[in-house]
Amino acid sequence: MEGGSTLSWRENIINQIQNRNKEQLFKFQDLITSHNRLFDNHNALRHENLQLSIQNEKLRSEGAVIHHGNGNVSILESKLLAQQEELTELHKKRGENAQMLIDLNKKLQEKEKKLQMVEESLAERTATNNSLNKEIERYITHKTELEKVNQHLRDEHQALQLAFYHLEEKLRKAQEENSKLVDQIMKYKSKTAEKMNEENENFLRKCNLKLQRELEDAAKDMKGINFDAIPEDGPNMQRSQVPSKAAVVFDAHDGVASAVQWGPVDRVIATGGEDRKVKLWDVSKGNPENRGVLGASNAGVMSVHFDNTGTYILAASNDYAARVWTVNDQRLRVMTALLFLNFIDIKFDISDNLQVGF
Amino acid sequence: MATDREVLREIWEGKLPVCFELNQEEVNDLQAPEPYYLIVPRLSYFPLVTDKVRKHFVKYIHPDKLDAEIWLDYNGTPLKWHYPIGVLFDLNNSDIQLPWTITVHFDKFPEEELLHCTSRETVETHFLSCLKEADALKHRTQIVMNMQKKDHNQLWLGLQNDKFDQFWAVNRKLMEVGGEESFRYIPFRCYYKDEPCLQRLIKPLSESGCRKTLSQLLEELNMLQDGLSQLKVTTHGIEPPLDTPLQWMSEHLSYADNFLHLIVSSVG
Repeated sequence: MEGGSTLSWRENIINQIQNRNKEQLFKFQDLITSHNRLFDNHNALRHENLQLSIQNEKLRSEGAVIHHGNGNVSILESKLLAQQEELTELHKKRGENAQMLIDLNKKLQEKEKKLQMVEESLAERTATNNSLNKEIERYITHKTELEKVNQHLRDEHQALQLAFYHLEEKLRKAQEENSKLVDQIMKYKSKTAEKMNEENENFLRKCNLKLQRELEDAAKDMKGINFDAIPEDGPNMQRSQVPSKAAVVFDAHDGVASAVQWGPVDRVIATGGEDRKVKLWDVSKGNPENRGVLGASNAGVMSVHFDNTGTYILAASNDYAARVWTVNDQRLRVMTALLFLNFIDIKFDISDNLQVGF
Repeated sequence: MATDREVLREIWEGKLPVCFELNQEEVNDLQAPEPYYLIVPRLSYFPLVTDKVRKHFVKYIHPDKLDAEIWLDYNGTPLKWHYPIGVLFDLNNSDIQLPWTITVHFDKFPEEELLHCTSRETVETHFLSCLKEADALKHRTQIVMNMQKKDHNQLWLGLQNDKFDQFWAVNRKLMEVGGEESFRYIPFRCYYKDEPCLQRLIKPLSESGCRKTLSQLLEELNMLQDGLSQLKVTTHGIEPPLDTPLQWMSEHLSYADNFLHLIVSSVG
């Protein structure tokens, strides 16, 4: 520690660095920079030398070429050659030009031919044009004639129209008359009808009177008849049987059962009740067997009916509607429009169309 | 924070005269080439300064080796390009005669002793990774990571072109303590005898909050068996006093890679 121990560490370090630089760097710095400069110079010179020698070589070879040349003669010869070449080239060009001239002439002739053809076609066109013009004139005259005829026809038409109006008026009068006559006829007819009614009533009254009289006579006659004289098993008397016992009784609905109907085939019964349902029952085995319940009604069912074949079933309901189901699959098929009156009874007519009675 | 510009400047300006010679066995010409002399910065790396050397010697070697990578040796030991030049010099300081004569080789690359260095980018990568390592020790890498690519470039170009102001404009941020009193750990590498360099986590402050000095660092590295007087610590070609605070050393005496490179040798 050359700096001495009394200095602080920082000054010690700086001193050491400066000493280091003095020893290691400054002694050599100038030397090495000058060395580097010399080195660079050396390199530059060497490079320059190389280039100069190359240039020298080039110049030497050029000089050799000049020495070997034979001066003016060769130059002139070369010029001559060049001129000759030029001449042949010009000749060639002339030939080309002549050829071009011939080609152009040919083209000119072709163009002229084309021109002629065009003129001919032009003449043709004008001829056809003329004929067409004539035709047009003819058509114009024809047209005027037709216009005249047209005018004539129009006049005629007007006259006919007048006649037509006249006739129409007549027709209207006749119709009025006719309607009056019809009214009169209607009056007469109603009168005759009244008369007929009166006659009928009179007839009925007479009949009734007659019947009463006859009945009174008969009552008078009864006194003489002996009932015991009539035999018990008279040949003319047949005992009629009144059913006294129900074969099957069953509860069909909750509440009132308001409609019942036999099916046209099988032993099927359809019932309708206040519980808004239509039910199908099979009674062929003695006791009823439920075959299905047809819902969809919104109020009590008032009437049920089968069609002739037993495939459809019709029901009228208090909800102002009539509905048709198929029996087999028990699906609703038709529902009539709502009506303002309740159905009380309905029927299929013979042709299976729905007919409704109130 | 590193405020002592005088010291920083002196450290930055540290340079060495070097004489490059081509290996005699590789000369492929009638006469051996002239040696090439250069003044090289201590903080730089050899691959950054040897372009001209290569250009000078390449005319004299065998044409097959024109594209070969060059490598350097001093006294038969290959020089590791990834150490700063100053460290390489200080490691061999005991027997160097100035100017420092270095042999240049194109042939027989010592694969087992040296890493390949194909271009300047390799050096840049190594340099930046050292920076990041140092920052990890000092600030948990926060500062390096927050820098932009252009800041990294500025650091690298400043070192490459020997521009003090350009380099320190950015390096200043890396030397900030950031609100605390000191760095977390001191980034240093210690070279002792021929062993590979020694690295430990050492805080710049002791438990009681006092600033640690260089002698305390040696103590923590267990190098004081022979007593303080038997050891010599060298960096940048000087021997810093043993009572220099570590924090100050790290801020002012670090190499460009932000590491302190301390060469420890025993006297006698």
